[in-house]
Formats: sequence, structure tokens, C-alpha cells
Amino acid sequence: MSKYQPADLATLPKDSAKTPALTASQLTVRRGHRDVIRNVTFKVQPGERIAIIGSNGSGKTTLLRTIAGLLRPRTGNVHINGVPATSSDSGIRRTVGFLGHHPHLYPYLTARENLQIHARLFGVQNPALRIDTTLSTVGLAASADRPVREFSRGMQQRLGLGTAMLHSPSVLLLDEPDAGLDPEAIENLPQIISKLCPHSAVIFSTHDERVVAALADQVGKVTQGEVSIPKQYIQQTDPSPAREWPDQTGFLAATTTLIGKDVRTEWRAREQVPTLLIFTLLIALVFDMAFIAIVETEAAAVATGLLWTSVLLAATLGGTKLFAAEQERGTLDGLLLAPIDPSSIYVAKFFVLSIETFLVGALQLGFVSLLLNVPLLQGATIGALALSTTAISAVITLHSSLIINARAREILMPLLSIPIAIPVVLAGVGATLGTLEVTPAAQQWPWFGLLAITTAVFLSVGILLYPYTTK
Amino acid sequence: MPRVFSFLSYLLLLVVMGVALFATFLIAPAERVQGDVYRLLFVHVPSAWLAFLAFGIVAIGSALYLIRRSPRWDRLAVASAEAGVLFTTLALATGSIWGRHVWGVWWQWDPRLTTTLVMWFIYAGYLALRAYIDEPESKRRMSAVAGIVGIFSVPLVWFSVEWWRSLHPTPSVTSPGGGLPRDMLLTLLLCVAAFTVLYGIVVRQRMLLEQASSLASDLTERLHAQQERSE
Amino acid sequence: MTEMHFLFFGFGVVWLGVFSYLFYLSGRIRSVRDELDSLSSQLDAAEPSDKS
Repeated sequence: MSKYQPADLATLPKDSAKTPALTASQLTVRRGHRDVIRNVTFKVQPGERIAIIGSNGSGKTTLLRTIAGLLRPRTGNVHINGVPATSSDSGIRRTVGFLGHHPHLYPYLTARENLQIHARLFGVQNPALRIDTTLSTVGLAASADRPVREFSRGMQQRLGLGTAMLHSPSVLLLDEPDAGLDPEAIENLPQIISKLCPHSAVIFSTHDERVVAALADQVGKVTQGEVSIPKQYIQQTDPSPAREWPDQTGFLAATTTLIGKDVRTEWRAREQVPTLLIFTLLIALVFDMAFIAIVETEAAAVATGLLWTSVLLAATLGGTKLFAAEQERGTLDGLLLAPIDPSSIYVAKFFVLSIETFLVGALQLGFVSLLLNVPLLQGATIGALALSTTAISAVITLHSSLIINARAREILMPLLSIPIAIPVVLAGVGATLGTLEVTPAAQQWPWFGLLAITTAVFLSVGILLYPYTTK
Repeated sequence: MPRVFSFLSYLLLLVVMGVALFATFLIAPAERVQGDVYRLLFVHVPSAWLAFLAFGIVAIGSALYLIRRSPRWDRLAVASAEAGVLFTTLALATGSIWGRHVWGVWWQWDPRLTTTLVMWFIYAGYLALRAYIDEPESKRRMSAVAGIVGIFSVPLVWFSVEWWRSLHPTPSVTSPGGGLPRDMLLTLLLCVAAFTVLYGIVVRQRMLLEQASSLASDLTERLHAQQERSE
Repeated sequence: MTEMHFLFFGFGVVWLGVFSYLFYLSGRIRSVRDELDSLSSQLDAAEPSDKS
């Protein structure tokens, strides 16, 4: 799939042999209303290891996150192997490894599965062997098939280290790699890095003098957003030739990996679908009781209303957590760091929400046709449901990506998306009633058309705008 | 200089509003069927049109913000959104009062009314989204996307009277042939001009407010940083 | 209610709406301006020669 090879100094083109692994020039980063990093310039050669020290809040994390590409600098730029890291092509991420304050791990997946997903997103060659090597190097071979949520903080940190190094990045960024590790593991840190990433330029932050002594060639000190670093690391302004311009992982491979991950997580955690199904069943029972008087004459209308209440509920509840759950776990950062097109994250989420909403809708279809004796379980009605749940999911996915940093998401989600979803509900109800022959069958086709158009419009607008919401 | 500009703009507003009111009550003739109550048209229609304009500008400001990343465009978008919500509220309120006289009820679930209410909710949602995101840069990005998406509601409101059977009259000004009498049309245009000046003033003031509060947050952070340093 | 009542009720609502929004806006502008004044005087007092 990918032609990526771990950085190997011997095979590099001659003119680029002196290209630094990393250059940062005149970086200024603004967080909130303040410049947290001011005018920072330095370069690091392959194989060099730099410690970044400084008090809490001095800007160490911001510096590392900016180099990793998670924050957009206000001015200045970062080059990895001579390639601008801010370029819209995310292939460059293949050459960067990052470990943040919280390792980007999925708690319901095992250590091995977490690494497998990472390997697929980063296009690691010979993944099974590399994963085994990594697991044994970080000392997790025995726990490889246990879910990560059973891991201690130190084990999670070790797995996080393994994840950051799995794809043999040219530049390895570690934000307090010693956090949560026991003294023995801290002692092993240099060996782990030497074994998994022998040629990488390493930049790490720490508060521990011993880690600095064991690991660092040089020390940069961050004070009030400015970095003081030995002279030879200050970058010269002459441009360096690019060493290699890595490829992005294919869209389809990335999307299917992400869908698989979400489906597997839901299968194990059972957080979303069972909740929604219970809600749905209760709605069906209560409505059936409440409308018993008019069910005789208006059964199809009541059935359709019921169906749509559950579909809207399922979609908005699902949407509230769709992106926000990844954001809260910190795993969204992990996905944004992968060399994939950000739209594959969006499309995968859209797919997952569509499946979830359709499942709930289909089940409600079953309940309702049983309780109200309306023939809902027929091809055309199921088709109408599939098309409308897809359209609703297209609208909701878009808004779900907007609320990840918001408070009161439970209010915002329906407030933002239900008004926009009204044409979809209208068309969905129209199409459903058409298939039930409440309205003449010929009248249902324009509704089907409207649903298809809405899906296409919202999906493309969402894909187009999604990259803007991430950075 | 800005003070002079402010003063002149308020003066202009006063003059145009005065002329528009004069025309509304004294120049435009009474209507054959509805008599005098139809004069609500002269605030109802300009409010609705200015709301459309305002939401169009929200979308433009939002798109330009995403491209240029200059907070100025975000300020334009939020100012215009607030003005748009104000004008939509006025259009809904005057419409409701007028409808009470003509239809005998305050509200009808009619396509035009319903879609207008939907539009109101969409932009109220936009303002709520802004209120609930604390980090300024993230707030601007997310609301810019919402500001672009919201524009879908404008054609929905505009064409609702043609797409569905509606009690609401179809646009009598833009439809060929069936236009308003000359004096009514002139009065309407005067009122639209007056509302446009009002819109301009509201947006300018709201943009200045947004700029000032962002500066205040800047200074607060600087003050905190200083206090931390001196500790 | 007569026709005229509806007419004046409608206009009353519009003017009330517009003026209360303008009033609310100028109130917010005034409070932010006061905040700015107090902040800049606090900053000057804390470190008169601060430049950044």
C-alpha cells in the first residue's frame, strides 16, 4: 500500500543529507488571547535529542503541539525533513511521532488492536512484526490482548510511547514521556527509543533532571514563551532541500479502518445502541397507549409520527457524542496526527451515525408495525427509512463536528441541527406515507429526490468545511 | 473622527426614519380591503428583507473568516447575525399582529411562517453556539461553519410561498405585473432605506463592541500573566 | 380591537424592539469600555514599562 520506509540515513539523496530533521523558524503561537510561544527558531538534525525544560505553563506543550501540527502557528513555520509541515497534504504526518499528556488510546480495544489501527492509518510496512517488536520493547507483550481500560497509568503511558514510535518517525515529539512511569521504566526510556527509533530526532519535555541526563544531547529552556537553546541549534535561513515527500494513506483504507474501530468499540462498550433501542421501545409503547383512540382511523399517520420521533431522537443523541467522545478521550488528536485526509474521519463518522440511526429506525419500524398493525415492513418503506436516516445523519454529522469544544452540547446539538433537518423530516414523512399509500404512490418520488439531494448537499458541504473546524 | 461619523450616521437615521414614518402614515393611501392596518407592511416587509440581507452577510463574513482568518470578518458575521435575529423577530411579531387582524389568529402553521420561525431558530442556534464555546479561536471557526450552513434557510423562506400552498401573500413587489400602487411602492422603498441605515448602525456598533470585548480579554490575560510573573 | 389598535400595536412593538436592542447594545458597550479603562489603569500600575 505505502512505499514508506523508516528513515535510513544511508539511503538518502546526497544533496539532502544535511537537511535537518526539523526546523522551526520564527514560530509564534497564540492560545486564547495571549502569545504563548514567541518567535522561536531552532533546528534539529537526525539522531539528535533535545530536552525542553521550563516551569508549568511556560509553553512547552504548546511548542510540541505546534511542531506536531495540532496547533496552527500565528506566524512562522515548521519543516520536517525540508517539507513544510503546514502543507495541506497530510502525508508529512507519516514522519512525525507524538505523545501528548494523555496517550491517544481507545479504552475498549486491546493494546494490539490500538497498535493495529495506528499501523493501518500510518501505512506501516510489515505491521505484525513491527507491532510484536514494539510490544515487547515497551514491556507489554504479556498484556497485548487485554483491553486498554484495564491498564494502569504507567502501562498506558508505555503503550502511548510504543504508538508514537510504531511508524519509525523522523521526528519524535514526547511531552513528558516519564509521566506515570515507575523508576525502572524511566531508566529503560533511552533503550526503548534507541531500539524503536534509532535515527529519529527526538524533542521531549520533562521536569526530571535524571531523564534529561540520560536522554538529552542538549537542553532548551522555555521561559515566558521564549526558548533559549545553544547557538548551533539556531537555524540558518538558507532553505534546505526536501528529503522525501511522503504519501497520504489512501482514503478508502483510512475510512474503513476508522469505521471498523468505531463499530468494534460500540460492540464491546454497548454505550449508544442499547440506550437508543430502549428509548425507542418505550416511545413506541407510550405513544401506542396515548393514541389508542385514533389509531383505528389514523394508524399510518401515528405510525409515521412515532417512527420519526425515534429517528430524530436517535440521530441527535448519537450526534451529541459522535465527535465529542473522541475529543474528550483525546483520541481525536491522534486521528488528526495521522497521515490521512481529514475528510476520511468525517466520512467514517457519517457512516457510523447512519448505521446507528438506521438500526434504531428499523427496529422501531418492527415495533410499530406490530403494535399498530400497519404494514411498515415492506421494501419501499425500508428504502424510504434508509434514505431519510442517511439524510438526517448528513445534517447531524456536520453539526456534531462543530460542538466538540462547546459546553452544553446536549442543548446545542438539537438546537442547531433539528431546524436544519426539518426539510429532511418533511421529505421522510412524505416518502413514508407515500409507500403506505396514504398519499398516492406517485407523490412519493419527489420526496425521495429531495432526500437524495439533501444528503448530497450536506455531505459535500460537511466534507468541504470539516478541515476548517480542526485547525 | 469616529465620533463625527457616529453622530452623522445617527443624524441620517433620524432623518430617514422621520421621512419614512411620514410617508407611511400620510403619503401612502389607505388600502381598499384592509384599510389602514395594511400599513404594517411598511415595517413587516423591510424587517424581513433586512433579515435576509443580514444572514447573507453572515455567510459572506463567515466564509471570508475561514479563508483569511482575520477576526474582523468574524466580527462582521456575529454583528450581522444579531441584527438578523432582531429583524426576524420584528418580522414575526408584526406578521403575527397583522395576521391576528386578517386571519383572526396570532399564529398559523403556514409554510412561510413556519420556515421563518425555523430561520429564527437556526440563527438563534448560531448565537448560542458562540455563547457556549470559550476558546476564542475555536469559537470563530465553528461558528463560521454554522454561519455558512445557516444560509440554506433563506431560500427556504423565500420560496416557501411558491413551493407549498400558503395563506401568506406571494411577494407582490417582485412579481411582474401585480405590483403595488406607485405611492405605496415609494413608501416601501423609503422604509427599506431607513431600515438599511438602522442595520448599518447596529452592525457597526456591535462590531465595535466585539472588538472592545476581545481587547478586554487580551488585557485581562496580560494582567494575569503579569501577576503570575510578580508572584 | 379596531384596525387602528392593531396598527399602533404593531408599530409600538417594532419601536420598542429596536430601542430596547439599541439600549442593551449601548449598555454593553459602556460596560466593556469601563472594563477596558480599569484594566489599562491596573496594567499601568502593575508594571509601567511593560511592552509586549
